Amino acid sequence: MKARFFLLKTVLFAAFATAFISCSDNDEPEVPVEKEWWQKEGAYILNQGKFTSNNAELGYYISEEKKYQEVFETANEGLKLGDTGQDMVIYGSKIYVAVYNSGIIRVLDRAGKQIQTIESKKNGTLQNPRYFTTYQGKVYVTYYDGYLAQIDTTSLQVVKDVKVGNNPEYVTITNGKLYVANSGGMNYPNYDKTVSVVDPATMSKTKDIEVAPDPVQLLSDKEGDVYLISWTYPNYTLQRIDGATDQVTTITTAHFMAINPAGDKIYGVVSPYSANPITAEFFTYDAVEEKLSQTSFVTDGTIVKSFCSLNVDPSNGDIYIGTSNSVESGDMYVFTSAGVLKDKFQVGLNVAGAFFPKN
Amino acid sequence: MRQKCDYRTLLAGVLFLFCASAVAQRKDSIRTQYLAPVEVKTKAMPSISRATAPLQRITHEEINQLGIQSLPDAVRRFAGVSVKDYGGIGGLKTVSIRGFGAQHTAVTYDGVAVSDVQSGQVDIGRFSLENISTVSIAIGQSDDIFQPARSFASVGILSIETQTPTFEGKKQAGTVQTRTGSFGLFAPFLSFTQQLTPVFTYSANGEWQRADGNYPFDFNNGAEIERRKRLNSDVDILRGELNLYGSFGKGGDLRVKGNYFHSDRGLPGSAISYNIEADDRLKDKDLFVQASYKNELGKCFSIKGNAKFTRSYSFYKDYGNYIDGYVDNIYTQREYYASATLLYKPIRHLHFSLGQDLSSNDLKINYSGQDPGRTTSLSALRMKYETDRLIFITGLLATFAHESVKTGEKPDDKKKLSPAVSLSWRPIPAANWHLRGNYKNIYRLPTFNDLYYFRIGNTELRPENAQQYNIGTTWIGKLSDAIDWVDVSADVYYNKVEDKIAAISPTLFMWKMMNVGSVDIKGVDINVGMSVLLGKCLSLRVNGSYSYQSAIDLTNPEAKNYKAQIPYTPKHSGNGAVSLLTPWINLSYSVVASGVRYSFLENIRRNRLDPYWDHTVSVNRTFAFSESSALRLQADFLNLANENYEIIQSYPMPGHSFRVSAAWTF
Repeated sequence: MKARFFLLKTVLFAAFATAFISCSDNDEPEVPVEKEWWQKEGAYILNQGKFTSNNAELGYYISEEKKYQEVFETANEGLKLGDTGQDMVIYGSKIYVAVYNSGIIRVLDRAGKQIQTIESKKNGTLQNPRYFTTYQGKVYVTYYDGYLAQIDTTSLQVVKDVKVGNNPEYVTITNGKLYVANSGGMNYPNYDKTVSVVDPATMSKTKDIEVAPDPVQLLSDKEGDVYLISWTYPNYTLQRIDGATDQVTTITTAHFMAINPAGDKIYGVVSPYSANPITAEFFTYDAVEEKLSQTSFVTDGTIVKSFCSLNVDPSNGDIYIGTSNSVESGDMYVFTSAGVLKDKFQVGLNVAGAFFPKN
Repeated sequence: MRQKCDYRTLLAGVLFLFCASAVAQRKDSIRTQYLAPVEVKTKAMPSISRATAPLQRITHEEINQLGIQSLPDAVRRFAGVSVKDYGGIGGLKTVSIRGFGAQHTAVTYDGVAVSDVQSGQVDIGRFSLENISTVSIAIGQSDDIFQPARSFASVGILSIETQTPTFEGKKQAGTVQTRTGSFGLFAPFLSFTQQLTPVFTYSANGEWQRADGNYPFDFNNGAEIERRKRLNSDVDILRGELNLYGSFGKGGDLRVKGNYFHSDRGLPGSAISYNIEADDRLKDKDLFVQASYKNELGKCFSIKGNAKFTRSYSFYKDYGNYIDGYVDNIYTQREYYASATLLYKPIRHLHFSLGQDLSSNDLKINYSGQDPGRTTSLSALRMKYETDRLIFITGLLATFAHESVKTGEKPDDKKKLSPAVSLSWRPIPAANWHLRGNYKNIYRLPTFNDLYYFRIGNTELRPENAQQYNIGTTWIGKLSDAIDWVDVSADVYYNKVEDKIAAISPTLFMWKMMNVGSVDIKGVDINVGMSVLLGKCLSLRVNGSYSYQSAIDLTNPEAKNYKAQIPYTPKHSGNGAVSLLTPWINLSYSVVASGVRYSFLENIRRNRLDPYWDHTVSVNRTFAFSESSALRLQADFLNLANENYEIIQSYPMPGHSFRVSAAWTF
């Protein structure tokens, strides 16, 4: 976290310094400088696009203007983002976008301009990036062929990697340990059922924790506990991995989750795989009291169908819920932390999620 | 997003709707056939201008004339018909008619239906073009009521007829041919036919086709054009066929056919940013044996019987992030099919037919223990009233399907009665001008992929229900001594599809097949053909067609694609061909064109596919050595504009290429 703030401060300082210098260079009356879109409050929206159609899309939602716009192609002379935008992370002055099927990580500045691409091969075969986390000046990414890799944020290269399990998905960091969910999702019916613990300093696996089959999503709370959703078909399972003992307890059925900025409340979504676009149900889980509450975190009765993403803005607690039926452009719903709908806007196809510049 | 593999997703039939293109290679039966040195007599063909429903045809001779490359290349020249083509020789090629999914098109091979219950659509790239005598497409109800019930169960029928040997003065004949061309194409073909006894004749033919197929193409990454090559596009195909013909005079006619298709091809995958890796392999081994028997029993009755056994084996090696680095998917389909048809002609103008088909299909998948099966009964009762100026046909089809599974949920059995009616009328006795109209109801059963595909399949699906209306007019005549032949047809149609089966994602990017769609299709097909005599031995043949199609989605007024044109369906498409026939050389030019299409439901930039023009020039000459021996040389220049257009998004077509062939017949 320290490194993250340091980098952010450096960027902000640089921005202010530039503004200051430009102002002092002339004696004209001070005109408020129009902020660039990426300096305004809001969220980057990553859209997967359609698999094999090469139409992932990165956009930005300016919250005060209630406006969504495509940003990557605009900032890069029409360059297409690629095939299947899986995940992204904003770290320091840079944005890392995992373009899964294209097999690259695009590194961008905050204005969406591409700085570099990271392409990684294993045994001559392109590796497909899945999900990110960041820790102490490094970016960590899971590769679908079974690796967790460490990316140096200066050289923008993979410096170390470690074999974890099959088809790793989310990775999270807590108590100085990396947790990786090994789904084995490509290997029906032999799904993996482990979460690997990796020491970031040595990039070595210290243990495998047995969990419900097909583990996918991970997050950690303020106490250092880890929460996991396994895609155990057809009933997805929410489990808690104790941060101290690595003891696993099953909490409930859930399909997706996010955590509030304080790190003490988990928002859960129940949206089972069915033959119809069903209405998603929401619950909350107190991560300190370890108590489940069926009370919805959406409090104004808004109905959300074809759920596909959930993110919380760490700066103000706003809740972003993406929907998509995978055949037409999706919608993003923005709720206040109190669960009241603030805005709803159209995004791209298959929303991967909302990613916040302040984190 | 978690995707097992793109090919399987494709197989799942995710929104397969096709772009249209067309041409008309039309010819009326009154025209004489140009006979090859070995006299290959085509059957007396039904009249195109009198047909109650649009009928289009390409003959063997026209295929040669225009430098047509393959069966799919021939079919895409029909008006109102489109071929969904994944590019290259090995890419999947399916046919759809007037905005309907490819599952609505029946394909018959020498009168017997080719079926695929798994995907519901037939890859027409499977068939050889070399031994074909005619390819025709009937949209709506065919006028020939003496056909198996199955041929009445679809929106239209693509009929492939192979050459039937006849002998004049000798007992055997054959062809040796070889073709070569761009991208490592090499395709030798052999055929031989012999009269064994006055009763029995056999014919055998075989073809080997191989190509590297790694054609160059321009990849647009959005900011610049990358010059790339398709990789893993190689094909190695063997086709073999054996026919036995028995002509017993009053005892009827028998034809037994065995056909084997073996293919080993690479799947180049979609062309996307960065990732150019492609390793997936597809191997097919298909065998079918069919027997047809036909006889006239007295003046009033005729009978026809068909029996067929098909086994299709498909081995798909999918490389990806699996434990072993790949997964083998093996699909084995079997079909047992029997059909009996009775034609009854009680009086001169009135015919009745009754057809009963039974089929039993099953599918085995190496990673699933479900082993689905289906037994289908189709019964068709038809009546035809025909005079010199009027044809009226009506019929009723009864469908009954029993579904079975070894494990898992079993879908309900299905039954339905579907009516059809059609009419053709020549208002003025002296003029060769016809009016026509037809209506048909189609009941399309869900495919095994629709019902059972791993997690995506839905056993609660209802069949698709479609209505098909067509009115049109045809005219044939002579304008002057020079323009000695003109034929024109124009049709207007309206189709309505309800309970359309499509995949959508109810949650978290996971697909499910559902009855979600309602589609309204309105269109126009226009065909014009003419022959112009330029001198004693010079003649010009011109053909053209244009299609307009408005196929809009009316599923949900709140959806973002409400009233949008459905995927892969151009509003405007057409094609044309000009052939100059001289005693020295024959020269032809043809073009296939299509307007803007969309690859997905919304008509937005992300889904837009650009219009294209595909031009071909072909020259050929035949050197006759004797009455029955000749050498034919041909050169074709394809896609002259060198445009890597896309029929399917991310599957670029080859740019310009050439092909030469030499065929010796004896």
